[in-house]
Amino acid sequence: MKMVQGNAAARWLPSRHNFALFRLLAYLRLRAARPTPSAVILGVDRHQSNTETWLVTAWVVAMGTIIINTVLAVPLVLSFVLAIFAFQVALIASGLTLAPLWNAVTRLETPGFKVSSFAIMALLAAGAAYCTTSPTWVRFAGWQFLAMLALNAVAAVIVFLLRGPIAQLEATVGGVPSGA
Amino acid sequence: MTWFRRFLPHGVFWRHLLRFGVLNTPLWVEGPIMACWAALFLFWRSGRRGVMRNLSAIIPGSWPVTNFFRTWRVMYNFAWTIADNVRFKELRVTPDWEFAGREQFERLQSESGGAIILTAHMGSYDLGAQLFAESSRRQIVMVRAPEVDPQTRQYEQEQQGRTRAESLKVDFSTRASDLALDLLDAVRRGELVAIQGDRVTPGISTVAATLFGQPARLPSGPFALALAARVPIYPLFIVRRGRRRYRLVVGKPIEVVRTRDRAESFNRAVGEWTRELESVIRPSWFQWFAFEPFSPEPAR
Repeated sequence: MKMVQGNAAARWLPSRHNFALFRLLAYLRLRAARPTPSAVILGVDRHQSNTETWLVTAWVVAMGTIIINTVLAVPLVLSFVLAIFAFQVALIASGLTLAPLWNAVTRLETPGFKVSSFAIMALLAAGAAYCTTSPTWVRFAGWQFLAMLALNAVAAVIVFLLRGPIAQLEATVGGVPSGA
Repeated sequence: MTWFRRFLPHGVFWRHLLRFGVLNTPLWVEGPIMACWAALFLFWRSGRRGVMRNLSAIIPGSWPVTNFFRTWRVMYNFAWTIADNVRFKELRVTPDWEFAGREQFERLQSESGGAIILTAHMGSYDLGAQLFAESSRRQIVMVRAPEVDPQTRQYEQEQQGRTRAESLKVDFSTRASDLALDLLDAVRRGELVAIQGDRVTPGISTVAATLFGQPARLPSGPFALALAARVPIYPLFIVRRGRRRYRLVVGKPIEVVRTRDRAESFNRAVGEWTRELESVIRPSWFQWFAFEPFSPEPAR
């Protein structure tokens, strides 16, 4: 794993972010950043950003809660507890069945967390689509979730088109090419 | 039949479960999942009581009910720390590091002879030692207490053999007399020896100390080694600052001066160490993974 020493501005490296939307925002922020000498060693991994991870955590947990509230018609507090429980069941099921099956079929050796990440996000998208059919306020939550996924897809295209300038900028800070 | 041992708090089942979790959990639901599993470990009675009793000494006048919830926070931080450790071993993913006492850290790295790193059971000392070993050309010997459960011990040894940096050697504090000579040789060869100085395991020699106003026993080995080898002791702590963020805190070196009164030299060095320990633990009590009471006496 690559690490950048002594420059706090490296926290904005796009390659320290996972979702394309955050990679794009990080790129824009890094363009404006000046080298900031600091006694730090920063790891370059696509899940390293705290802001991104916690924002996405809050977003998916809120959406999971709303889906369960809609589907099971239970109070929001109980829906929240069930959502947390459901995430654990989903990841255990994915880790025990889906990930080994995927790797056996494709022979790609995809990390288990990537398979479960994709599977759970797909389940959430399906749940959000179901919510859009509701006559209550939850349809807005459903549309919002799907809109964010669409926005992320657009950002992915932009990041792909900007891969050259992003890689150049990252190299000046000491990072690795975005997407590596 | 001891099949159930694997499910006890020190059992190997939890290591396998943790590894499974690290390898299969989407990174963006890790937080809530950690919070749930940390709450489960509140059912570990002896661990919970040990932490609560230590907290009552660290935070004088604190209420037991508040300390119960504080104990959850200790467990939560511990869960993150051991998950970060497994992530490093399995995926070579390291957290971000910041330094406090950088000049002392550089001084430690540039020591011409050997030195002793005295640390506490907080943050991920495994991760810190790995970082140190990989960023330095110095050989580092880490002394640690072995796992209580034989299956867990075997599992950990297999994991360490698979992933450890070449310049990092792990030794166990059970074989006290042999180990003391080995460590003396290592320090005299110019190596760094990292020892935990905040708790004692059965069979090792201890020294009386006062920690958070309570009588406590601390390992005497590091001080005896420093005295015999005439090397400094560097207090070094790894404090978790948030998700994948750690701070390396290095204190001023402690010299164990040779005088006619050996006990007096020891007491002075132990006093310096406990002051350093208190200054780090007091604001970061949720990082101190001492699951046994450090003092035989309940907090006053």
